Parts: sequence; C-alpha cells; structure tokens
Amino acid sequence: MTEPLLSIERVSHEFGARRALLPGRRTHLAVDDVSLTIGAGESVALVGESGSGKTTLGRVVAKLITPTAGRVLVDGRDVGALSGRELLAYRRTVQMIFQNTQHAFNPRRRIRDILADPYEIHGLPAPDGRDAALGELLERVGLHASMLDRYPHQFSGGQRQRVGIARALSLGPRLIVADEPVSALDVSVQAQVLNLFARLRRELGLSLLFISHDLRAVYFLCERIAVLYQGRLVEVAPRERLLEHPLHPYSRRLIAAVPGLGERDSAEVSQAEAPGPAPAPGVAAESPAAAAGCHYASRCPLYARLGAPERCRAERPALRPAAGGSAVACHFATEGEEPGANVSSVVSEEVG
Amino acid sequence: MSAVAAVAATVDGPRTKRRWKPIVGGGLLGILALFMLVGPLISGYDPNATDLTARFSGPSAEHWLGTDDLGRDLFTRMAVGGRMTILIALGAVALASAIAVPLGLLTGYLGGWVDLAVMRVVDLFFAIPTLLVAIGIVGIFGPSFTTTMLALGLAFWPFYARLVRSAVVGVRDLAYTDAARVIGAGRWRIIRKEIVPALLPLLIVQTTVLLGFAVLDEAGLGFLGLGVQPPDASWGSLLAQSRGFVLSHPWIGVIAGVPILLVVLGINIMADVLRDRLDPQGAST
Repeated sequence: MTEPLLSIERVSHEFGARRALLPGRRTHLAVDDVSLTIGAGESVALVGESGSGKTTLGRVVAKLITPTAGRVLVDGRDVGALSGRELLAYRRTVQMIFQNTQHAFNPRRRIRDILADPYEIHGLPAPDGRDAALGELLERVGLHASMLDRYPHQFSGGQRQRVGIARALSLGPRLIVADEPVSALDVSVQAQVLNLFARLRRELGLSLLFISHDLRAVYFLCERIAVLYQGRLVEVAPRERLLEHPLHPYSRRLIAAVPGLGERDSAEVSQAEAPGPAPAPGVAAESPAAAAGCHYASRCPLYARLGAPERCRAERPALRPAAGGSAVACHFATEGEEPGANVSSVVSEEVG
Repeated sequence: MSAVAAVAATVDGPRTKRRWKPIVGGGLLGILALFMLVGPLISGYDPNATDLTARFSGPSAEHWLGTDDLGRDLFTRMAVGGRMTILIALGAVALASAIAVPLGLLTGYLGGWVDLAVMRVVDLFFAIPTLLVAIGIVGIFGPSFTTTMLALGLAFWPFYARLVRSAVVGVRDLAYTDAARVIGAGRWRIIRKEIVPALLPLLIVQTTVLLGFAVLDEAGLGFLGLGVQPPDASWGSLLAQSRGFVLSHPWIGVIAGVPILLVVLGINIMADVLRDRLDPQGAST
C-alpha cells in the first residue's frame, strides 16, 4: 500500500489538560488514542454520537487545536510543529468546512472580501484578475458570480455552505475536513450539497474526512467508515461491510437506530440488540479515561449476554483486523463465533 | 422572508418610539457646544477679569448668569470652563481607549498568562474607586489641566479594558475566526479583519458612555479642588467655588451644576441612540 495522504497516529486530546496542574480541575478526554489513515483520493467518514469526539478529531486534523498526545502526518511529515510558510503550505493541503453556516462567515464582510482572503494571504495567482477568479470559484460550487457583493445573511443555508466549500476549494486542497457540513441544512438541500461533494471529489480527486452522524449521507459519500464512541475508535470498515456486517456491538446499535438502513425493526432485532433507551447523561459520563477495560462494557449487550466476562473490565480492547477489511476494538465480536451471529445474518439477507 | 420581516419589525418598533431621543440628545449637546464655542464672544467679557463693583450681581441684563465673588462674568466663565471640562473628558477617554483597546484585544485574543497578568492588575484597580485612583495620581503630580486628564484616563482604562477583553473572547470563539485560521490568516489579520469590526459598535458606544463619566469625574475632582486651578475655570472648579456661597448665593451653584447635568444627560441619550443604531439586538451593553 502506498503512503497515505493523512495518517493520524495515536492522537489523544484532553480538554483542560494544561490547567490540570492544579488539583481538583476537571479534564475531559475528548479523543482517546485514535489512529486512522486516509489515502489520496479516499473518502473516510467519522461517525458517532454527539460528544464522541469526532469534531475534536476533525479540528486536530485541520490544525485548529494541537492534540495533547500523538501526531498527525501528511505525506509522512509530522505537521505538529509547522509554522510560518510551512503552516501556510499545510493550509493549502488541508482545508475545513464548518457545520454552522450562520457563524462560519463574518456577518460584516461581503462574500467578495471573504473569498479574497485566501488570495491575499497565500498570494494565489489570478491570471484573469481576482474578480474573474472569485466568480469562477462561485460557479464551480453552483452559485453565480453576481452574488459576490452579497453579505452572508443574504444567502440561504445551503448557499452559504456552498460558499464555505468555495472558500475551502480556493486553496486547491488535497484533503477537506467536513464537519457535519449538511446536518444543519434542510433535507432537500442536504442532497444537493452532498451531490456537490461527490462531484467535486470526482472532478478534483479530493480526499475527504467527512464527520457526520447521518449514516445515510456517509453511505452515499464515503468509502470507509470509522466509528467513534466516547473518544475511542471502536470500528473501522469499508462502507458496505460496516452497514451490512457491523462487528462492534456499538456499531450494530448505531446502525439499528437508523430507520430505513436495515429494515429490521423491533420484531427482527433481539431485545438486547435493539437501540435501548438512551442512558441518562450521568451514566454515560462514566469517565472513559478511568475505565481500564472496554469503555462500552457498561452499555454493551454482548457483554451482558456473555455473562460479564472479566476481560472486558480489565483489558482495553485494541483495534484488531477482522474479516472483510474491517478493524474492530472488541475482545469478543467475531462474526462466526459470537452468539449474536444470527442477527447479522438476518441483516445481510435483508440489506443485501 | 417572514422571519426577516419579523426581525425588521422588532428593530423598527422601538426605534420609532424613541425618535425623540436623537433630537433631544443631539439638541442638548448642540446647544451646549454652541454656548461653549461662541458664548465668550457674545458676552464680550474676559472670563478672568475681575470687577469688584459688581460682585454677586445675580442674573441681569449685563451679566446674564450673574457674577461671582470677584465680579467675574459667570456666563463667560461657564462657557470657557465648559471647553476645559470637555477637553479634559475627551483627552481622558482618548487616553483610556489608547490603553484599554489594544490591551483588551491582546489579552482577549491571546489568553494565557498575558491575560492572567493584565486582568489581575485590572482587578487591583477595580478594588479602588475610580475617583480615588484619580485623586492619587493628582496627588503625585500636582493639580493641573494635564494631570486631571491623565488621572482620569488612567483611572478609566481598567474598566474599559475588561469590557473589550470579554467582547473579544466572545468573538474569538465564533466559527468565523476558526474559518479564518483554517484559511491561513495570522493573528494580526484575524484581529484586524474579523475581531475589530465586530467590536466597533461596542467601542463607539462605550467611548460615549465613558465621556459622560469623565465629565462627571472632572467635576468631582474640581469640586475637591484637585482639578483645574484658579484663575482658570472648569465646571468642576466653578462648582467647588460656588460651595463657599451656597447659603448666601445659591444660584451660583445651580448655574455651575446644571450644565454638567445637561451634558451628561445629552451624552447618555446619544449613547443610547448609538447603541440602538449599531446593535439592533441590544446584545451588548
């Protein structure tokens, strides 16, 4: 395998860590020892519930925050210590698109000024004049050059997200980190923006780190899916593999929770496998950092069915390769052996 | 569209109701400015010329606002003293802004130990009443026009710096500053292009509010005899002077006090108007 464009190596990020010198300060481990690679032209999704650390990981990749441990490599080079010209070069390689389109643009500046920023900062060439370049940029994302003199609030959410994409594209990046780019949009607009992403990927050969909790959008756009749970990667698998044969109990639960994806509603799913009532926040907040074993054990149906094996509490499961190109962080989840195998066969029949 | 219309309605509603504000505020300030600028010219008196034959004359055709204990024309002295007071206030606010705005921007944007250190100094100032700080500074350098200005400026900046800082912190964490960082904008570019424009309404309104405070505190210092020294007049020193005759000639005190009230009222009304104009949501003070 050729060298990946981006590799995240054992990255952790703990909020409040720097202030933790004083006793009694609370810290929050948002990302816990995550390793992940993205190949050139590949599109990888990061899914997980709110608070699972997916946005934090995205911000680490976009170099908006410096992780408290681990490193990020682009083309095999550690990007942790970049500054000055090298940092600017990194910005031209990796760009980010934000979730909240209302706040992603300075309300006091025209789109023309906002889009001119990258040209000014990076001294990008604009052979036919900057106006032409900016207009072309807007047309590339399905807007019109005539909209350059508008203010951000004069656009709809979907249009603003297109402007966000245009801003990211202006630097000709190879990787775009998209942090929930469509979840704030109307469903009808979501599809348009997703199509735009797909088209741009095709035309420009972009790599994508697509952060989302919408598994259907992810299925549409991404080749590989990484599932985060409370800061830890629990499963990484090719898209069909994950949706049809999820291995980790948490992935199963996540997929079962999407209506329409696996048409196996309550009747088909065994009680333990069904998305149970969401535990109270206090329960979920059981500190993952403190747990020596698997951080999902307390909610894990497999753990319950196996009779609470000691290993789940004592040893933290490492991400290990499994069938079909998957990797899973669970001691017991194996398609053939585990007691829940009948469920996954039901799923594969129905989806496949 | 309907949402936009609704917002526009809520913005327009109060504004139409408060239409008297710019007229009253602007009118007050305009008349007072006119009084200060051309007053001495129309009255024809030298503000410092004494006339012992016309002591305590009281308002008359000759002396519109009467005379003081040395027979000096109060109308002229109030006009000239007003210039002094306004100059001191403007200078003090300019000085306070010159210190507070960069400091607030820096501490708010950079955070960390710079923030910690500067804000502790600010806390220190907060523990002492503004006027006491000013009195201390006048005490060190001796009372004069310049020291009054300096003293008030130095007494005001901590309050202002903290305000700017907290506003910066609010803007700093908005997604659009992150977006600017991702594009590659450096610290100074972000401060210049993203943060300062967002702060501008707040800065304008605060400067105006502070101007009112400066006029009041100049009067306070003057009243304590720590402001502009005789024979020069300022509103504060005229008020202080009137104290001696408050029982025998109370109108001197009234004449010295009312313009202060009117100026501060006018400034505050205009600060209100500016706030409504610049920040329709009324999100910040």
